[in-house]
Amino acid sequence: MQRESDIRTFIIALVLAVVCSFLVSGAAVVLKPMQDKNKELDRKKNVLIAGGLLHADTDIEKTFEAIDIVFADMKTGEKVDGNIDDYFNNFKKLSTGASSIQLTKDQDLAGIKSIPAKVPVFMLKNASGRLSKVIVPIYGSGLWSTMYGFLAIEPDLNTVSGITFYEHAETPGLGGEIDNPLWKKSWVGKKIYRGEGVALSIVKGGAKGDYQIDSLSGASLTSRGVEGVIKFWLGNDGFAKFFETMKKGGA
Amino acid sequence: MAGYGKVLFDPIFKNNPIAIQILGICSALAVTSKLETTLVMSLSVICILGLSNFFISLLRKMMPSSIRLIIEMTIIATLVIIADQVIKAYMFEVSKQLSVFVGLIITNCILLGRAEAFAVNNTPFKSMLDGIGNAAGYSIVLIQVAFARELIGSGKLLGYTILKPITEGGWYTPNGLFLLAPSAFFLIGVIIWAAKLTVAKEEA
Repeated sequence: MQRESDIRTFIIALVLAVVCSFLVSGAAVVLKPMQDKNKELDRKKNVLIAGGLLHADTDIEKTFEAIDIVFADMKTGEKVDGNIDDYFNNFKKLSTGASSIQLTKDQDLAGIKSIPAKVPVFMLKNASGRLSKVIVPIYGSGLWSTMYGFLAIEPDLNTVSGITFYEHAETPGLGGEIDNPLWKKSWVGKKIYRGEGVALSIVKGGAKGDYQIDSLSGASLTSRGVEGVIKFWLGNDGFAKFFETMKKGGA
Repeated sequence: MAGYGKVLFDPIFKNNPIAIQILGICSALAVTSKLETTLVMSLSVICILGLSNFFISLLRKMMPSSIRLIIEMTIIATLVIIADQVIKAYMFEVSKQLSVFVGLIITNCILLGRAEAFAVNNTPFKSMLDGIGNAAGYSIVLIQVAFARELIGSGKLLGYTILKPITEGGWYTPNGLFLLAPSAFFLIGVIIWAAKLTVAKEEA
């Protein structure tokens, strides 16, 4: 056969494409269980990090099991039952499928279009069995990616006790600095609500007082994304209703 | 056999891809803030470049010239994706830090550069050696840069504290500049200068 005939070119391209796609999908399928396990462990670890429970010698599985997990009905703010593994494994279906809650443009501060009808809330207890921290999952659009994280709140439901993001693809060194320990530390002790609505905001340069956090330099859009995430998830369409229920003693 | 040794070792010192050929600078800036990520990155590039050169050379007589570059990129991309998956499965923490940069090996100029400059004209085994040699040359520069950046930037090596920083009750003030990408520019600049100086001397 001629080296440069069209048909030969086509056949070689086809064979190569089939072989390569077989290899790539093979690797993806074979390694998926292990990657999923890593992700699950990482998620648990990040719940503990947000709650300030992770130390060098912490047994992640064991510590995690001691946490009470409840679910918040995002429409009514009531406490409901749910399965945590189900939630994370079927997250895509739950957050965008038929059972999800669609958000209007005005509601959608985090740029996520729809949210799951039920969202888990992690209740940490101290040694004497009293509630010590409430940890909620948060997510929303940054510059390039959807950022997934956890926010820990003190039992007064008005003070931030920690924040962490476990999955995002922001620019390393700029937006990726949402992983920076020093920046995460700057969240601790900040207040959330003042009067009606979420007062906590991210400002450029010189954050003052209890309600402001410095934005990340060189990452205005990521910072704006994080602010949207906070405003949405702590607002009325997020966990605010559930927190009201909690305050009334319903959860 | 002498030819094979030259193919393997020349790119490590005499014809280093970063210092002499000035290829692959972009990733050298991004992944060198810590020694651990750099080692994983180097290892991936060595495996991928060795194999991609091998396969491209194997197919060199079959490749229709009209789609030669596409075939080369497909082979490189396949290897990179597999490597990325393996790192995600076995080295999760590192994969989070490397984030997009393993995927970006696809666009690393060294890979296509070596495929075009060497693999399409040489036998598979020789091409593999050329790939490994070039990747090793790339790695050596990366490791030097990462060594300096992690030590000066955070007083640590491979996560172990060498110079105890003030924040942890020691005496060392970490130089934050070295954790940012521009510092790698300076370091690589110095390395390129030193390499050119040595090569010029040898030639004279």
